[in-house]
Order: sequence, then structure tokens, then C-alpha cells
Amino acid sequence: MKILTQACLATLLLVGSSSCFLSRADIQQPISPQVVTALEPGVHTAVDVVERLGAPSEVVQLGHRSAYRYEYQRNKTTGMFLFIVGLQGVDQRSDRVWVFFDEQDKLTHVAATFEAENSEFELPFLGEDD
Amino acid sequence: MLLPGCLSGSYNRVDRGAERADTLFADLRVGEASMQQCVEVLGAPLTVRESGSGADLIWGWERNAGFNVTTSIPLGHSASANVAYSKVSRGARGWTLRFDQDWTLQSKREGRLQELLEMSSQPSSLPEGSRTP
Repeated sequence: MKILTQACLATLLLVGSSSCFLSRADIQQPISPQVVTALEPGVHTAVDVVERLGAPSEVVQLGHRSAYRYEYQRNKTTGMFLFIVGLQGVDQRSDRVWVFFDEQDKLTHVAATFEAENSEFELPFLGEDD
Repeated sequence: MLLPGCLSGSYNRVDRGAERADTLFADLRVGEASMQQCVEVLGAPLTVRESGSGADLIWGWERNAGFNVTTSIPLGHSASANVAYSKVSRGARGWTLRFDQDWTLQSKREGRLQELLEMSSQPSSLPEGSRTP
């Protein structure tokens, strides 16, 4: 009887969860941490940074100074349809680098975060609670 | 098999970015902390905006979860009633650090990310002829 019940439940689960999907989207190119670490404030210029990292995603003017943003984004989406219930979880993480320049386009600061690799496939009720 | 036509529900969750610990924010001293110290602790901000002769750096992360339930009740041969209920918890929060022109922390604020973005000045576009490599 127990085996029959388990078989029925397994069949119901199999039929009911026949619509599952995983999706991954990468936006822009990955940023090399080694290249970012090698950037030296006071030494490198905006030209050096663009030669190494390419065209920025965004340029912000700060008076006579400026800041460039570089970003690589990874989105992972998990979905499941179970009979009458749809579940979907989206985890979006980025590698983001801001580089700041003075009036002479000399690099002054580098701010970097690398967390795109931490993006995970997770159903909504399984995600970590904050 | 007709059940999905009468009743359906969904539960969605969106996570964007990693949350930073409150202690990191609390430890940053206004008037003392340099931008170098701040970005070493907090990493790259979500956005940067001009603020007077200095700049606002805004960090943010988002945890949104919500569910939706819809039911359809037949009322006759050609009529039916639909009832839907949805609830979304919005958890986009963040911090704004304002720096003066010497890149010293002038003020800090925490709150809902949308409000922080609205309070901060809009990004200025580069005028024509600006220096870009």
C-alpha cells in the first residue's frame, strides 16, 4: 500500500511538474579581476583604462572630473508549474567596476565588486531570506 | 483537468545584488572616512551622481517577493466572474554616501532605494566636446 501511494505521488508530481525551465542571461562581457587589480590610481589615465577594459557602460561627469562604469550582469531564472501554481525565482548579480578620474583624466579611485558568479538557480521559496 | 481554468496561483521572487551588512555602514565616519576607505569596504556602488562639487555614491540591493491568486467562477452559460488577489513585498534598500570635492565622506543616508535615487541629483550628461578617450 505504501509503495502504491508513493508511486501515485511520484506520478502526480511528474505529470504536474511537467513544465519546468531554467534560463540564464549574460549581459555585456565578463570583467577580468586581474585587469582591474592592475589599474593604479595616480599612474594610469582614462586612455589606459579604456584600452584595457574597453568602452564603458556609462560615463558620469562630476564637475570637471568623471567616472566610468563597467558592468557585467548575470541573470538566472528558475520556473516551475505545478498543477495550478506557477513558481518563479530570478537571481540577478553583477560584476561592477567604477573608475574615477580627476581633471587631467588621471585615475584616482577604483571601486570593484565581483559577484556575478554567485548568481544561482533557485525556486522562490528556496532562496535565502534576508 | 478543468481546475487550472478555475483557480490558479503564482509565487515570484526577484533578488538583485548582494546585501551589505549594516555594521559596514555604521562604521563609516562622516567627516573622516575617505572614498578609498568606503569603496574598499563596500565595493562598487550601483550608481554615481554629481552632487555640487562632490558626488553621491549609491549602493542598493533588492529582494522582491509576491504571490498572485486568480479564480474564475461560472455564473451561467455566457457569464463568469473573475477574482484576483496579489501581494508584493518590495525590499529594495540602499545607502547613499555623499562625498565632497576632496573625496571625504560628508553625509550618509539609508532607506528605500527608490527614494535615495530620487533624492540624489540626476546624472549630468557629458556636454559636447568633453574629453573622452
